[in-house]
Amino acid sequence: LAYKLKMNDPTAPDDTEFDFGGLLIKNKSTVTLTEEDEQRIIARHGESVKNALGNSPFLEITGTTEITKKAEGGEG
Amino acid sequence: VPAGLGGGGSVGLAFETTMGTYVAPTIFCPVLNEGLRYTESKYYSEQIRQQTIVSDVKSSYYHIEGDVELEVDPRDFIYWCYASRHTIVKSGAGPFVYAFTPSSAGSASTASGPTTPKTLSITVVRNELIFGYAGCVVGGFEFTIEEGTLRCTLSVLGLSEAVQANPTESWVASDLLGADAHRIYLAASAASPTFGAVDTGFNGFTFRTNYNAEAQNRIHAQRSASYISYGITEAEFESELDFLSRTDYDNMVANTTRAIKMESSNGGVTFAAGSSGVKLQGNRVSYDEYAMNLEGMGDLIMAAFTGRCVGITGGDAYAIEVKSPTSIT
Repeated sequence: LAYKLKMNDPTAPDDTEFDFGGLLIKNKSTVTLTEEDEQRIIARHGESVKNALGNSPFLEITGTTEITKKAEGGEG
Repeated sequence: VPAGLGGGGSVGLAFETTMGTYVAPTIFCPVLNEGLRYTESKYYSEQIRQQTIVSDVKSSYYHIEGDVELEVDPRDFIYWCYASRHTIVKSGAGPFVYAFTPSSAGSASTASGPTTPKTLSITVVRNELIFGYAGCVVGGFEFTIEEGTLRCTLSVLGLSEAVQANPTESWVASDLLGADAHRIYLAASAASPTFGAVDTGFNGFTFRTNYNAEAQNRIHAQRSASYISYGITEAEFESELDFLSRTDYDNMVANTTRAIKMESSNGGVTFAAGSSGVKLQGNRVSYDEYAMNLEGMGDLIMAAFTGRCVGITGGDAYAIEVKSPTSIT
């Protein structure tokens, strides 16, 4: 399952769009990460999506696999 | 870590539940610059022991201190206002109007709810290295219009600093207050002044408040500050305007106080009608100084004044109001 990110900031209006380093997520909405999204996040922020985005208090991350790691594993 | 630029940094804010206990950021606030510093006067031992150089050094008490300069964005500016010495009233159903008026609290505190002052944890990322400042309050504001845009310099004091986890930054579109947003009004002093037409002659506008905040260190086996005290509140306006009338010069001479208001709003022609904005209002302002001189053959004749806010029966000496889409609960 690809990662899904749900933004839920109770202090901001519902139409607020949050920019996580180029990844736009509207408040109270969910986005599913594409492989490109994931690679961009990792390139910019760190080792993994959870590592890069896991410290946002209002961003809920669900999903069990990381596309990039899976691809690397396949190569190995 | 390779060399980094300031532009790669970030400043995040969170309200604290317990003053001085760090909380990871819940909002990221764009700033123009920050100067938060670990401030300590180390103890150097001047023992007399046949030498003329200090012989030892011990750590002493420390606190956090420094200015933060930013463009006023109503979306996040209220966070700073909550962290200062004010009585707070929240109204509206979105956008919300927050009114901050002087309070007489002797020290900073934090509590939950939309109408109580709070303290901030401020997270600063400098070249991917993380500084978590806890127990932070704003000891003074200086609003000014710079190249048409409303800016504010905040005097921040905090209790402590420690390394913290790297935050996940997120940003929303800015809502700055530019040259087409500002209107300045003068009126007779009153608890609720009646302002008439916009005064179009102002060239520059500064409003500053100072709560004379100080970090207090107490003896209890730790070096960080124990609390932040507040002293007297000073608030003043400073500006210059085209000198077209003796009226306000005569007001200064006669010690006649005035009311001054600046509204900056987006989405409407007044603060009340706008969708976001800031209103700075002094209800009883005494002209400390009102100077207009022939500066030179080619110079415009301008009046430069400073006006100090004074308490008024049945009202507040000044008010900072912010209309914001952000809901503090």
